[in-house]
Amino acid sequence: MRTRRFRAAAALAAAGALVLAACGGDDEEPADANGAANGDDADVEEPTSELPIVLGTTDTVTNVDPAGAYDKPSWNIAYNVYQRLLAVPLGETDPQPDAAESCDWVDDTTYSCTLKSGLLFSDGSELTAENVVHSIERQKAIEHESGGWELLATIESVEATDESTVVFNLSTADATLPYILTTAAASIVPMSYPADALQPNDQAFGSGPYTIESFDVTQQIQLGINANYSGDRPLNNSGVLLQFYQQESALKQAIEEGEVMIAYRSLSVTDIADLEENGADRGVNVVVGEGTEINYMVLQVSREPFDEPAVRQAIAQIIDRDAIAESVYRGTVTPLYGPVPEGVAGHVPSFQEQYGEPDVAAAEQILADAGVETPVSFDLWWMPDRYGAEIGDMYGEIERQLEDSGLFDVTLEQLSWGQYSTVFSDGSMDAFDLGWFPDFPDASNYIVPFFHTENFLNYGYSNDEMDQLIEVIRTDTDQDARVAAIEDATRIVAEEAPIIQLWQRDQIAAVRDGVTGVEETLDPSFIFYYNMVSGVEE
Amino acid sequence: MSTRTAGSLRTYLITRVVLFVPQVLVILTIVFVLMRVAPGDPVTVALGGQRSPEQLAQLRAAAGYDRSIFVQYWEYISGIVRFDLGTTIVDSRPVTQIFKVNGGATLTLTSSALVIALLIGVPLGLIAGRVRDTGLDAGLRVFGILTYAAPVFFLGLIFQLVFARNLGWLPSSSQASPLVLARVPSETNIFLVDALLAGDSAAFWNGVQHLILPALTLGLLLSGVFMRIVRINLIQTLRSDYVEAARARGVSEGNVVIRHAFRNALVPFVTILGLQVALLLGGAILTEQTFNWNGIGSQLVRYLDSRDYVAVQGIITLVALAVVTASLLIDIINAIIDPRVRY
Repeated sequence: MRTRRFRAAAALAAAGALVLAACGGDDEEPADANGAANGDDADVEEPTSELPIVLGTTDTVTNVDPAGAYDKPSWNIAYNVYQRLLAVPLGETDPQPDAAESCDWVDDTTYSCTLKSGLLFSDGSELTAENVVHSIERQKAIEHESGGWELLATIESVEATDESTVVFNLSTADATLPYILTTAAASIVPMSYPADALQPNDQAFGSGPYTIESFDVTQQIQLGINANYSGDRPLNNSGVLLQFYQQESALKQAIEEGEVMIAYRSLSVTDIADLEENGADRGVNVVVGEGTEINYMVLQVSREPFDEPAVRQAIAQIIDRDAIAESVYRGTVTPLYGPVPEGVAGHVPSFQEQYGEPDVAAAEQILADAGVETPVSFDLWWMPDRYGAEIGDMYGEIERQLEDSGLFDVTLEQLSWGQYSTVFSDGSMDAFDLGWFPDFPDASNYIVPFFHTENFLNYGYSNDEMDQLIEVIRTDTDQDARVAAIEDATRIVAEEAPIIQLWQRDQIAAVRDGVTGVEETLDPSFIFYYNMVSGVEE
Repeated sequence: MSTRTAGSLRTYLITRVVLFVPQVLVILTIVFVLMRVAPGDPVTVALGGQRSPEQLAQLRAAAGYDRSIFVQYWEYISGIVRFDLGTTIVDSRPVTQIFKVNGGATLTLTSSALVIALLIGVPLGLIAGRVRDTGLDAGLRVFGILTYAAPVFFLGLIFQLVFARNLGWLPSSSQASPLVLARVPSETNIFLVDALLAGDSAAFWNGVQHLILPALTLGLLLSGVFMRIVRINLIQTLRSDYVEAARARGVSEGNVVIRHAFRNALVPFVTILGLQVALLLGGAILTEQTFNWNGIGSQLVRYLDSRDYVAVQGIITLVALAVVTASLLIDIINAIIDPRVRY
């Protein structure tokens, strides 16, 4: 009896499974309920694609309240959900009005902006000068540990003089304020955001082109169109799905299988090479844009052997950046010959001007002229878990180049980022690797934190002339004067070589056939504007 | 059931449940100690270099790491009693929420893998035991050893290469396609159930397709173990007097094997099944990582990568509790179906 009952239950279960399977099919229907408003509002352009864009990434988003994040992935969502007073348009490097109608300096420490009229948040509330005041003040009140609020440190107070005018009073002259106002830290949030606490991620909304519809940082974030958006950005899709992957290999498989339309940050160098070579057969194309992420080697100038400028100069003379870019990174990075990367105003290939091609004989001469005994021994530190798997290979190549010269004896050392981050600024390492993402595409980002006497690296570098140039870079609102100071500073860096820049990483995405607009958004601003992308059903 | 039998079962169950408490306490203590012997405090390790010393000190105080080890231990244990396992350092999520959001995916994977392991391992064990010392038996034993010994991630990668990359039959990662995931409302956090609740059969089928490779990978790992256990127990029971007696009575060989030997061979198998829960969960971590499966295992790896020891401690604690609880349940079931256990 029990046997019969079991058989009957098993048969029912099997039949049920077959029915369910029969109800399904191989064809996946595109999501038809993305919740996106599609052009009901006259101000919103009709999206050119009905499909939501599916973007796969290995990035980790932490917080989309601008007061709670200071990382690229979170900021990138903020850039698509909120407006700022100013923004750097695609392909350009200077701030232009976004939510503002205009902005200008009143004097060295006062900056005034007039807002556009008729701006609305996605909940229908109006965006006024009070929102700007609320956004800045809550950043400074919350002081979130992520540290994004520190960008606003020179803003002493901000006031709304009328409904559409906001005035920033600075504690000291700060020529970078317009750039700072383009960052996600200066995103304009609704008045309903708590003044002293973070808005929950799944309830975040702004006046930008997208609004958050679902939020799960472990799997997927869903963005729909903000029907109230009345800004200048074109809307080429009906929404965005951000799909998270833990491994680069899984992201590559997803783009090859068509599970995602775009794979952006990060594919491994070998996967990129494979997709460049064979991707077309699988319907995948590799798109490359100019990037402003840099990698560099810091030399501890406070003590031997790098307190001797000739030792630093000799290293700068030997290192072959082209070999690194080609043999280690397979062309996915561009050799960087100065502190400011290409694409940012003030870029000068100062190391190339100073040292020319890699030349061991010239390096030997530099050391001989300074009376330095060779080989010079030093420890060179790097971390395997921060800037990509290729960093180890890169330092292997640098070690080879330096030791093959017969002038240096290099001992490579590695440490995980958890420990590395606590010790790199304590002076214990002879030389060490670090990377840098700019907050905004202004050269000051690449000069001020590194070469002022009070720098975050605490590596002993100090130069009065450099400090004076940095003062100009920081405070002079005349852009020509700033660029001239940046170029001068860049040349001093090459002469003294306290830090040797190695490469700037291109921005690379893989896209399915028919996806357009990605190339346009991969510009030095390092912001992925989702609205630019359009996809077609394959 | 006689009074004596009922009494001994009750005594056994009470004893087993009472022993559960010190067993859990020992495991929790081991987890606590292991997390503390690592150098540095968890806050500094997770966020060092990204926060000022003052902020780190505040976070350390907020997390209780500035208190004595005994106070921390007491708070850890009392927190578990209140089902409060703390809040993750890197993204401020309550650890219990990780189980709520990601537990369904792990449950789907492990239960499917268990079913596959049973469907493969038990029949193969039965066949191998029945045809002992033949070429087929040898082949099945090799299969059992290989599936058990092959690293899960290796098997997973092979499956991805063959069935996803080369043949294109099945997807290689995630619980469902991104567009499908987006359109199914999350009610239970178990995707297949949510798809059924939404009446979305296409989404359900999509989820099944995504489940096949990871479940097969993990299931094969266990099937080798099951096959070997069933085989050995069947061989032993086939030598028993009562089996010989059945044969002497003229019972057909098929009935002897299935009704007499096989059913009795499954009794010790139930005990072993409980022990495999730990293997199943351990394998699930690697399987989830290989297939980008958004379960507790992949979250554990994610938080390990971020050096978020609060999250890691919380996840390990709950997984350990799950294993101990499963062990308790298996012991109870065993005591009910096998009287020898309770005497």
